[in-house]
Amino acid sequence: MIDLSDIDKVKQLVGDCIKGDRNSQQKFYQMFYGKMLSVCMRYSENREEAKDILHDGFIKVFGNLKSFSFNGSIEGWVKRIITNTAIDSVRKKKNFLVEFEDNRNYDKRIDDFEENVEYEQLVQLKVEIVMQLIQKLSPMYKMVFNLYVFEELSHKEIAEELNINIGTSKSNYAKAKRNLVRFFEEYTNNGNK
Amino acid sequence: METNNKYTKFEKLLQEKFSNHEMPYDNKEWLDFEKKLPKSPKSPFFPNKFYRFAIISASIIIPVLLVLFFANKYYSNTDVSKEQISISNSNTNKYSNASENNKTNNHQNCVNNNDQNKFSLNKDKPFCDSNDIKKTHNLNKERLNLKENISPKVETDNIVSSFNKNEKLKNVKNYGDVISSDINEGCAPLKIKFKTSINSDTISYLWNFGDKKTSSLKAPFHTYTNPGIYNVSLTIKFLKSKKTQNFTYSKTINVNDIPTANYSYDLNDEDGSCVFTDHSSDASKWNWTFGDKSTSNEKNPKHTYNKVEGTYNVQLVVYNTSGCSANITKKITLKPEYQYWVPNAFVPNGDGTNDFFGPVMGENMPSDGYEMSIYNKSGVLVFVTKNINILWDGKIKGTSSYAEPGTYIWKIAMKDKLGVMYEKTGYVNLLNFQ
Repeated sequence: MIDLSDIDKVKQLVGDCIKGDRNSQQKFYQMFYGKMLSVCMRYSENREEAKDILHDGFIKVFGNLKSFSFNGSIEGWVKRIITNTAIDSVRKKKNFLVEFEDNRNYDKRIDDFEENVEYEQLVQLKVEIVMQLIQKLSPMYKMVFNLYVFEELSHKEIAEELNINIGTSKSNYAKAKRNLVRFFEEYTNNGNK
Repeated sequence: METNNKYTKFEKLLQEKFSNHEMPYDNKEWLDFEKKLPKSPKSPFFPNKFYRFAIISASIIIPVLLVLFFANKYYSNTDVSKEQISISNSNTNKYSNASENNKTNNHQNCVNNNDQNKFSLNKDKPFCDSNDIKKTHNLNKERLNLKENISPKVETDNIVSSFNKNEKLKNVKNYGDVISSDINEGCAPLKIKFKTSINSDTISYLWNFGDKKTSSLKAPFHTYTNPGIYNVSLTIKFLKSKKTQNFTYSKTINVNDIPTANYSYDLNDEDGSCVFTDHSSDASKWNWTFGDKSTSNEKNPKHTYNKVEGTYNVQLVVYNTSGCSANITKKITLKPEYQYWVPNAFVPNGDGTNDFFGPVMGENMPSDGYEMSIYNKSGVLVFVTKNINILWDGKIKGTSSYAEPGTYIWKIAMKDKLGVMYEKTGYVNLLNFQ
């Protein structure tokens, strides 16, 4: 594995990848595989779908490596491409339906259902389990949830990204979170039995 | 912009959980992915469709031609599609699996099996009586010169190599001609051009440079970035063969470590003397150039510049025992700061002592660019002069009245010998004298 802070080595690896050197490409793939698959998992319904997104994304990554200018971190660059690929892929889904805005104010109610969360149990919960619970969300909820929590976009940015309005983003997010909390409760209750 | 505070405890917890999460690596998925990647022109042994087509057609056409060629000659029943690789070690590097040599070499090996200058690798079945010349290729590695560790490693088990036992070492050494490089040893990073004497369009090449890098070019360049001893191997594969058959040759490359150069210096502005202290690692020889045409080979030299001003590029080149070098250059600037003394109080009472305020100059002080300004506590300018010989008499500039007793701020600016302005400020007490 290459130390990503060693810019010369990264440059060499990227250069070799551009030349089409298989070993370097494999090294590059292997370097980012774990983190990027984790990203794809959050957007998809199962591992198979995540893998397909990851591979589509990596094709774009390798195809565009030439244009990477080493101004920012390569990991950030790769992640952005993979994330965009994931977003595009989810958008194309048939069941990617937008829930229209309702005028209830979700901002206040969000914290209500969070009060029920048993944090100690959540802390101990494996990432893989949380991932499964996120995957259970409907595509739209999952998308908004991902963009808000993990890509750290604001509702305004989410609205622009998904071409919906801000209220829709907020209500979808609130419902996504409510569902996730419910899945979490269900999981812990079943686990306790 | 919304800050991170927008996230609730629940959200932060999730962010934290996922921030360093990685899915376990599965190499099967790479293999799966590799198929989707655009075909690499360098992909060894697994060429693209065009190559595959070319190879298939070549492997059909060439045997047919060979059959036709030999049909009327010596071997009417020979399966000539099997490859013959003949290696002549007498004086040339020419290797050939081409048709002309088939008949002659096989023939000679048969007829003249004591001819020690010839041997042939016959893939499937020797043309000659096996009792005559069959000799399992058994290498005694310890007998080889390790520095030129060049040995054929034949990966197939059914290889029969028909050279004389006594000629073993000689023959083995001559395998060295299979891999040649412009340099065998040098300093890191070392760029080497490799060549092979086995030339044919129907051979695929796989170079393994011993540093986890490979190439499938016939004559690749390779740069070793890290020092070490690398075992370079070349695996050739005869594409015409029906059976997979690889031959591997190897060679050793020494990439020597390079030293690192560094030093510190202690400069005395007064007399221009400078003590240099070496901080290089792995150095056994030092070459100093001090930037004034003088040099030294000492480890920690002392050098005196005869001018106490100026900038010098001081270069240190160090060599280690393997002759690899590294260098470092630092700019050393001799800029003696001018010394002057400024009193912290004065009494302009006309008694002949401490009546004026101003700097007491050291020797050779330049008056160029000199300016002294005096401000009161409120920052109002009360006195200014550009003449180094004019001191402050305690009077407010342009009037004949004395300034109030108290603390004043002075600012003295002047140019140094290199023409750079520098400035000092301080306090002075105007004492009560009336």
